[in-house]
Amino acid sequence: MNKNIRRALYEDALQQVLDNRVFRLLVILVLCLVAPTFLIGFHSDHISLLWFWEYQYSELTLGLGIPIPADVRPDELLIKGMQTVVIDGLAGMIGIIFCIAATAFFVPRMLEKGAADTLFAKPVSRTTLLFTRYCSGLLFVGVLSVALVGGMYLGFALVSGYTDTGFLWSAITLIYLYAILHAFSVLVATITRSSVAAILLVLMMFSLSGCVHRAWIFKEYSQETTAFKVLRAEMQEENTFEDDSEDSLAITAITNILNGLHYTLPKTGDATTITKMLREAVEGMGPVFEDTEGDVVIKDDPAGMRLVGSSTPDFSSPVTWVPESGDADSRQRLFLLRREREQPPSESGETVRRLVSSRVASSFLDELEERDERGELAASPNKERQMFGGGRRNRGNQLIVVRWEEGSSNDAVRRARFFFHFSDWLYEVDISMPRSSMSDEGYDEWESDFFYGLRLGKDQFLGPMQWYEDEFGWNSPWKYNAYFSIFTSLSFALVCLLAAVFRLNRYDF
Amino acid sequence: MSEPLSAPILRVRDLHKVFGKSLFKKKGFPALCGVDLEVGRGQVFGLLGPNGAGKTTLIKILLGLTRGWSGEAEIFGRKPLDPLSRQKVGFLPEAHQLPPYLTGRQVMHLFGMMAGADSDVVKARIDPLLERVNMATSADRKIREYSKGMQQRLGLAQALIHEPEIVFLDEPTDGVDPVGRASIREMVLDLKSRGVTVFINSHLLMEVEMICDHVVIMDKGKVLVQGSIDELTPRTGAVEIDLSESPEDLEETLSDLGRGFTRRDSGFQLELNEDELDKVIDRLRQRGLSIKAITPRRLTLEQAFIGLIKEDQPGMRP
Repeated sequence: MNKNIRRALYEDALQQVLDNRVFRLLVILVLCLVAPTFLIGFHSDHISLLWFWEYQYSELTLGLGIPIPADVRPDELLIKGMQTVVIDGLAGMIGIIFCIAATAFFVPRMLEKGAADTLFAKPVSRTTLLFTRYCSGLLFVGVLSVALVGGMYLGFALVSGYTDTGFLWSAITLIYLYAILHAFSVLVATITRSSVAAILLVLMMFSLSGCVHRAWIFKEYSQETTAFKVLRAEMQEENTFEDDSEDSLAITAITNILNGLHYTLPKTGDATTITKMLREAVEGMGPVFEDTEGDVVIKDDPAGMRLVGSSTPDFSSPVTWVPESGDADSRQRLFLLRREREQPPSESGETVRRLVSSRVASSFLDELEERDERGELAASPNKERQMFGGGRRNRGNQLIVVRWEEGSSNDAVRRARFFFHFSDWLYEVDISMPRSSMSDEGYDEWESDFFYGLRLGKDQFLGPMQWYEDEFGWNSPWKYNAYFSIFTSLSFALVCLLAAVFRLNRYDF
Repeated sequence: MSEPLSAPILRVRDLHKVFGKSLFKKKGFPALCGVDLEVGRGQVFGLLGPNGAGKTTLIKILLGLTRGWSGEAEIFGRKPLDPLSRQKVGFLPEAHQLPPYLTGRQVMHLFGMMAGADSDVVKARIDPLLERVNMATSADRKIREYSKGMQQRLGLAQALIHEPEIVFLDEPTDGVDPVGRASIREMVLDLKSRGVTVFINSHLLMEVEMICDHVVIMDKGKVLVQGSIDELTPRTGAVEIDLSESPEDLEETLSDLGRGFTRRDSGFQLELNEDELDKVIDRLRQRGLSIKAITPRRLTLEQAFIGLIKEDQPGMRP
């Protein structure tokens, strides 16, 4: 295909988009959504309207009766809220449906008698002409998405001074979502030559894939939770849970159908999560540490410290955090260790019980007590149970902590060792924090923040959707993997387009 | 009937096409049943036939619009399914629809470039062509605002924008006023003078007779006859004789010569044998009548067409 033909096809697509009345209407809507970001400035303590009027957040929130939490930046909260409402809600749902409806007639109009004769008699293959119509749709949504996301980004950057490069990924994911749905629309339109059928069936498919996706998440969640109960019971040394129920034939059939549909249909529901992950990747919001084998994830470095070495280590040596600043006390550090719970048989051939956190903690406490008796410790050790992870509303996972102090009374170092086990692994977190580094209150908060961000991968205390979001990732197992989701969704789109080409090439006009 | 062509640009051999045949329906409707055709450069071809004869199917096969046929077909030495075979082809379909979102000028520009021509070259051709189809003043209006006749004229212009070597015109004067028809006829003759082959599919036989030099008559998916207009419209044996005056006893004067005397405004018509014409002339001269013209009568294309179709469809009434 020579460059003249390419240029003609591009100009044809552009004219088709620009002439579309719905497109013009959507452009006006986009401008209406972007305008507030230029007219309203969000600042750390106030909102400015049209650069003249200023309102303190307290005036606004108290008027509405909504207090803003003290630990949250109100400007960031409002901007992110606006971004979520506009992109995930308006553009990602209503906007996409509008665009599907507005572009569904591209292919049927091309296939109308008279129009098809004129166009398909040109020296351009049918496949190329069909892809041009598909690309017209992408151009339609591409222009609107870039205008919306780019406009909002620019508005927030210029007026509020808020830049969030990751937000720009939203435009790509909107196009990605539309590209999948539009491919299906092109297939239906090619087969039926009806734009009404294309719109209705795409909406049906969009809803169906959303329902299937959610149902599949619930199924996975319930299955994982069942497995998790065993682990929980084991962790708490109760061993009361028995999972001996056997699925009926009907349940197996439904599960298989659900799996089949889930893996076949595009995962449109993942688009929002993918955007979030891309934003996190750009903003460096991903976890700082991930033990993929043992399913432990640490979201943030402990405050004032940095990880030394790989963020996905093999635990051949302790994972170590050291102070960020070179001037800090070198005794300040945090280790994470992992060992297998299964123990080899003793020399006499007796089976050794699997390690559990409480037993390991007890024997560690015994050692410390011996040292304390010898006067080596500044404060006697004590053992307590604590919960961590799972969010503020949830109870979280259990760990055992042994605390003591070392050094002289003037220059004591707080020491703590946390024990928890999960699946086949036993973990220990060893903390050394000189008293001179921070107050007791500061230390409690520091420690609590660190453990708040420490999650076991399969956290049963989350709701199904939250749980799925946690499971879903670039390095997750294949069925929760973002690349797999993108690959299967794009494959679906490609199959739709190939089927449309196959059908089109068999038409007699 | 016609002489074989030395370098045909379009060739069809034993072409068959059956519509409506599927896995569940073994017997479909045969649209073409073994069509053979060769077309050379610079000819104006009239494709005639009753509805359902297979004319449009034949054109659509040659343009790659209809598939699933058997036999041989090639245009500029390429198979019709090859898009490149259509690079030098112009096509004005019957009841065509041009993209309503474009203006007339944009249609010309984009369709010209779609045929592979350079943008600047196409732009230079647009205005003269629009002038010729009398569309220059409406060139910047959207197609959706055009009347049927305007769309038809623009359709013809778009078919010629890339200077094709063969043009297929399916009912080109449909919906066009008499002045527009005359200008379309002129354009076709101009194309012929420039060596462009024109294929005209029309039910207006008088128009075909006026502009075509070669005619193919099809019926029931077969080519019944093809040849030049002269070959298809043989002499009837009758002659028309125009006289300076037409006396009342003219029929009596010629009573023993010829058959079927018919008086006309400026003379008469008579069916004659070859040797009778001289006698008629002598008799008229003896009466002192001045002969202004002697014209042998031929069948009209319409008469020839109806005669052929009646032969092919014995039950058909004239």
